[in-house]
Amino acid sequence: MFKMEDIHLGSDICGRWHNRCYEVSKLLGRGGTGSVFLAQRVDDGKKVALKISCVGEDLIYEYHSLTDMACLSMVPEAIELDEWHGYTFLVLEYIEGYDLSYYIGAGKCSYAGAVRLGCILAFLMSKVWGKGYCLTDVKPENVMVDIANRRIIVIDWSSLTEADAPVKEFTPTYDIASWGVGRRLADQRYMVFAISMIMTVLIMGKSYSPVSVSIDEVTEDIKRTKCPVGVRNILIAGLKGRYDTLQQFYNAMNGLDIYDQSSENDRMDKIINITLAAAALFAFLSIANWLILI
Amino acid sequence: MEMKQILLITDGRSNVGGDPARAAAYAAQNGITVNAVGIIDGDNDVLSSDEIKAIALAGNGTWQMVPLGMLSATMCTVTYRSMHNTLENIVNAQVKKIVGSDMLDIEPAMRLPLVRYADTLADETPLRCVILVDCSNSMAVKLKTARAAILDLLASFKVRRAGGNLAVIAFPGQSGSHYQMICPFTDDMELLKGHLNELKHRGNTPTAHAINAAISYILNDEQPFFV
Repeated sequence: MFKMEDIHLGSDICGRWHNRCYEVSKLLGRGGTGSVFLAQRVDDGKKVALKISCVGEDLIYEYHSLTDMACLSMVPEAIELDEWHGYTFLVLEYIEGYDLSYYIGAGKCSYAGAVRLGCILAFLMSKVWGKGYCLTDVKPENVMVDIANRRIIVIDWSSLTEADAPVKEFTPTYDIASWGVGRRLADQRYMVFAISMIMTVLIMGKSYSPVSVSIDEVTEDIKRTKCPVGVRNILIAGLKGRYDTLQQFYNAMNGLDIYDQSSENDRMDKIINITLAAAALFAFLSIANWLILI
Repeated sequence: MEMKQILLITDGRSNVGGDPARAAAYAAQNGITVNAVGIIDGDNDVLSSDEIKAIALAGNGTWQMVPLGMLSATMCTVTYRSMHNTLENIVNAQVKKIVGSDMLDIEPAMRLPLVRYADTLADETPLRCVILVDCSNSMAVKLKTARAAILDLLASFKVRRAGGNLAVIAFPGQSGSHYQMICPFTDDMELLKGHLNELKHRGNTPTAHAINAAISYILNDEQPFFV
């Protein structure tokens, strides 16, 4: 049987069902059950991200999650799902840019930037929740800053879980249950916690592990930072599971007055601002649509 | 129906008591799935994926090699994936009976209802899982993380519709024995937490003995305190 390790640069991956071929040009990442490659479609040279896995059901779920969520902005386009040598592969829109882990480090992300980003994620997750789902494995590595198109995009949707179902895919740092704060259940509190932790990691410039520190130690760390009390309180409340809904969390962040002159020139901040404006427009259009319907 | 599983956590190669893959094959013959998680250790990389893979393949299970920091998340995904596979095989057999073709003869994009059905069934099927913890000397610094990961797995079972029970067997055991029952089947977090303090590192890696002990415990409900 063909082994996944045998895929190398220049390998052609051809689908059993749609007969389209992709030439592998770069390894983008490797996980426990599969890999992601940058590839070129042989027909027209289009650059794509090709995710290949020995666990077919994960990619089947992800493909349908992406097509279900395609109406939201901030979701990469799912191009096709196919099989090759017994492996399942998913072809996705390739996004050029950095994921948020690039922005973890002292002084790399302003607190204002982190709050705006939190707003975007809370907004997106509330839309996902509105469709009856919860994205359980949200972490900096899965959120990309798409520089070319100036947008924030969540790239990994394999952890999309039905509302109130058990969480199967998570990363301990962003998982409320690993910290002993709540249950490992796909609900709004679970997502609020994950977003709060992402913001905390960005603001503090370092990651935390539930194996070595307690949630109280994290909140103590937050209390010692220079960022405004309002921001600190929201982060702590989020990490302690005090927001019942994403809307409450979003409203709390939206109510902050944290316009930060120093971050005006920050490239990521600009992208975040544009995405937020797009999100607001999307919300407005949804309401307008609804008003027209009634 | 009830799903029966053995989940092996190890950071080294078996060195006492025969071939663990044969023991895993015996488990599979008795309707018990054997999953394995190998801990990759940066400094002391004695574990190759071959043995882990062979155990999981013989035991109809799934396997993964991970760094220590990912142990708890991986134990959870490996267990869920293995439950899914068990139920998917059952669903697939039904599909074959009804439409005469395999699930794999259906285009992957069209397979979603079957995949989802298997997951729903898995969530509604009771689960009993014996965790085998390698307590050889090289695990000394990893046992704290392993304890937390086991508690975490039980926390995950709590939100399943059908719940789940978990037992823990350590290998090797105390005073020269090959294995030791640490905690009998339970769904009680506090009870499990108390018992997990008895996980102590010592000696070598008798993996096959531990798998055999788990099989007899699951099949006969005998608590293997002694060899």
